Amino acid sequence: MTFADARNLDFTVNGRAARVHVSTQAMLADVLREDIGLTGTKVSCDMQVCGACTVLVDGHPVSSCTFLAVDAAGCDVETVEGLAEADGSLSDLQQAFIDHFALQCGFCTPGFLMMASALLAEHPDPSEEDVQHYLEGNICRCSGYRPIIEAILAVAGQRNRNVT
Amino acid sequence: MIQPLRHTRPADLGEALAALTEGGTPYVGGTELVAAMKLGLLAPEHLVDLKGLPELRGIELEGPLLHIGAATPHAVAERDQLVRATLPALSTALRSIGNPRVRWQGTLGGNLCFAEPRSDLIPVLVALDAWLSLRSVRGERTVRAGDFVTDAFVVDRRDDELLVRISIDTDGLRYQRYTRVQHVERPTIGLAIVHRHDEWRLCLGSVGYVPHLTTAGALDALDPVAIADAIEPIEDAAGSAEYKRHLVQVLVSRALAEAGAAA
Repeated sequence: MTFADARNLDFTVNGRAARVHVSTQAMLADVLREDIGLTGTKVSCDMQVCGACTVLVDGHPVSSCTFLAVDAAGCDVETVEGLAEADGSLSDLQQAFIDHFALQCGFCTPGFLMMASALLAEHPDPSEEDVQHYLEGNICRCSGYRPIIEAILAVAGQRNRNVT
Repeated sequence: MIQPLRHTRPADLGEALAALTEGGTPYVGGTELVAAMKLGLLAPEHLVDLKGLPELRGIELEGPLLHIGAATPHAVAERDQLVRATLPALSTALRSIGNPRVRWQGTLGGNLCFAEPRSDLIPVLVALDAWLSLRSVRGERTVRAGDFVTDAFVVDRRDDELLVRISIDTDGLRYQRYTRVQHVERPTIGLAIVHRHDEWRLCLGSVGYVPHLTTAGALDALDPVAIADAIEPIEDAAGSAEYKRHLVQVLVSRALAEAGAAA
């Protein structure tokens, strides 16, 4: 393969500094999965429509399947692997997905979790409409969406109770 | 896998414009461009990454004129207090684009220059009579949004020109609204209606290859049947021409009734 342009990519992945040598053609999803070994990020439609590949770049959700890896230079990237605690205990959001049966095959789940993380960071107390609007670009063929929405609203409610 | 390419980050606008004279392709969010590259439809050799240029970002009010930097992401402009206060219809359209990922990555300038016919943004900017500033090493010129899109995926921008700014006169705006019908990933019809001073401007997007603008001095001079007849709908998975004409008539009738009730 001809690399017209390749370079070192320095960025942060789930709080840890990372350096990988990437071609300018490489997509972020492939670099995360193949170079860094974080296979939690899934690629499904490969055309930024389905949301399975959602990761956060500097706190904002992006489709890593159509995001040039070189654009992540100097950025903080968060993937589904960054949600759990260091000891492996699940985050409240992950636990809520389990408790509400918000997944079946689970392939879309990392994308939903990352999108929900971005949603709750921006709207700590979202309405059901906010949740639906934010998740419009994430496709799940198992759950029927209802349990996913309920899981996210439950986490928001729980977090708000803990604050007050 | 996309074609091999160069990816550079110019230090300032001057460097960026120089790179365009050498065949570089302007690049910011890539939500349209990278997708087209993955499909093999486009194969630019040199992407000139404009994300780091502050000259192309930001939103400011200069008298009644609201200026939006062309490389401002949709999500940033949508949430901007100036935009929400003065141009709620634009904020609604920006909130409708694609999905949250596209809205954080994609930019207003990219959406305009790519000119995908099913754009939420373009009909609103045409109805608002926005002005677009294009810069090149030869100088700067302005184009009205309504004259910019000349065909599907074709705009009045030369290869060495960069869309730097979108400017909208917020004076005299009495009514503005964006509404749409969507069946699949992109809108089937987007309708923007604006009343500024003594003119009503109704623009339909997505339904045809180019935005369709109708203007009138009075609201009751806008005729839903005549507008629907004048449209040349794209026939696709979202519906036949006949169906889309019907939808246009219904949507326009409702928009006029709502505007009349608000007046």
